[in-house]
Amino acid sequence: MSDLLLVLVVATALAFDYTNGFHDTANVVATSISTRALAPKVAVALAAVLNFVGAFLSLEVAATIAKGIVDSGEITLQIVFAGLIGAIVWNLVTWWYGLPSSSSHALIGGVVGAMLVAVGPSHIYGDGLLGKVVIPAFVAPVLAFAVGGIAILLIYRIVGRLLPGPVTRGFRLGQIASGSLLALAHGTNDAQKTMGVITLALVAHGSISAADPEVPFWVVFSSASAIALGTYSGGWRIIRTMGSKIIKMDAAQGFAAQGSGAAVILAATHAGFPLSTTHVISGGVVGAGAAKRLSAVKWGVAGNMAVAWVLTIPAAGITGGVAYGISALAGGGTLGPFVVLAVLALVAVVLVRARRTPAALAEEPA
Amino acid sequence: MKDLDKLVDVVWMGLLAGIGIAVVFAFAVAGVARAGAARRDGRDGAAALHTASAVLAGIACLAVVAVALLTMLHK
Repeated sequence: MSDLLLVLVVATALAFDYTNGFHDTANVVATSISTRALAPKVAVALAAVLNFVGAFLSLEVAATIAKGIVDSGEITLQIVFAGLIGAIVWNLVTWWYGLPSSSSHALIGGVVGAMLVAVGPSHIYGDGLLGKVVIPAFVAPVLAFAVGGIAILLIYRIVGRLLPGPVTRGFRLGQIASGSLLALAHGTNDAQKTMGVITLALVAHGSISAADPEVPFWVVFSSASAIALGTYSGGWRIIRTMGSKIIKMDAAQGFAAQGSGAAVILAATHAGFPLSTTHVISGGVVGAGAAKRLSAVKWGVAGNMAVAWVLTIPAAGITGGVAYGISALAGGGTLGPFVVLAVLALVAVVLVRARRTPAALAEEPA
Repeated sequence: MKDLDKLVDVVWMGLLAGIGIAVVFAFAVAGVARAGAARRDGRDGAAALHTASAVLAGIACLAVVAVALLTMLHK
């Protein structure tokens, strides 16, 4: 494998890490911002720092991506590259529409799609896909919904008759702690995926031993930096959706949503059954809102999010498959991925021009 | 089924931890608020009692945060 292809895969993995950071910032900070527990810039900066720190907390690289879902012996760097492209494109599309969706599912979908095109369905484990991705995708939001809902009902029962001033201040303080825990958990979970992808690339390149691959410090540092920078950039569209479009929250609801989210994520981590941060915190937000008053939740927005979740794996999979197909048609090797990037750049230019044209026409007198 | 066992663990641990931390923190907030009200009313005994309950609940919350950090470090 050429050094150039290695550089390209590493750069693409870091680009995915960056999109993961700004796409998922909302999960951590949105409720803190909407309840005024923290000023927006402070919340995003705190989340960025804690995502950076979180990336250093655990270096147990989870045997790279999609373990138990696809035959890892068949994964090539071209497949990983195409999978990353599928995930990045889906992250950008959902960010554009302000929809929170799972970056992990996008990555898995992208890799599965590229694998399907590259080696066929026999190397994809249906049981693994069902047990590790599909079932958790249903369990995570439902569980967080229930925990957030029950938690806020009990909180209101305990503090309901007290003066609102001190209670609100107390829960705002609590939100700083629960939001910080979420940011740490997110950094630990998600930066690991990028570290795994880059380590896989280094093994394939022969730069590090396949028998006992150790994650080089520069990989940890660059992955931590990319996710932190992405977080600091802040995906404001998704922050608005999570913070105020689903439901207007008070500080107690914000704490219930974040606290239940952090608890469910850490319970899942402890049991070795990782859940999507996005799915969990979204379920917690809707649960904390619905328990107070069902009509307080904007179910249309929640429905759009659910549709985005269902579409994540197929859409990222199709994009990953198409990316792999283009790469293979261009001869694979090092040239193929560069052709994919050129096609993506072309598509981006066409989309930007198409978006500008109607606006320009609209300014002309009828 | 191994995944199903883990799933059951996640459900009960998530319910317990999520609801537990919310209730304990709510007691801490309520303790602080009641202690403040009692102090303003000149009820020093009640203020001390509510402060003590707030401190206990606060310590329990800190313990939960410590467990959470250890979980992240050891996964």
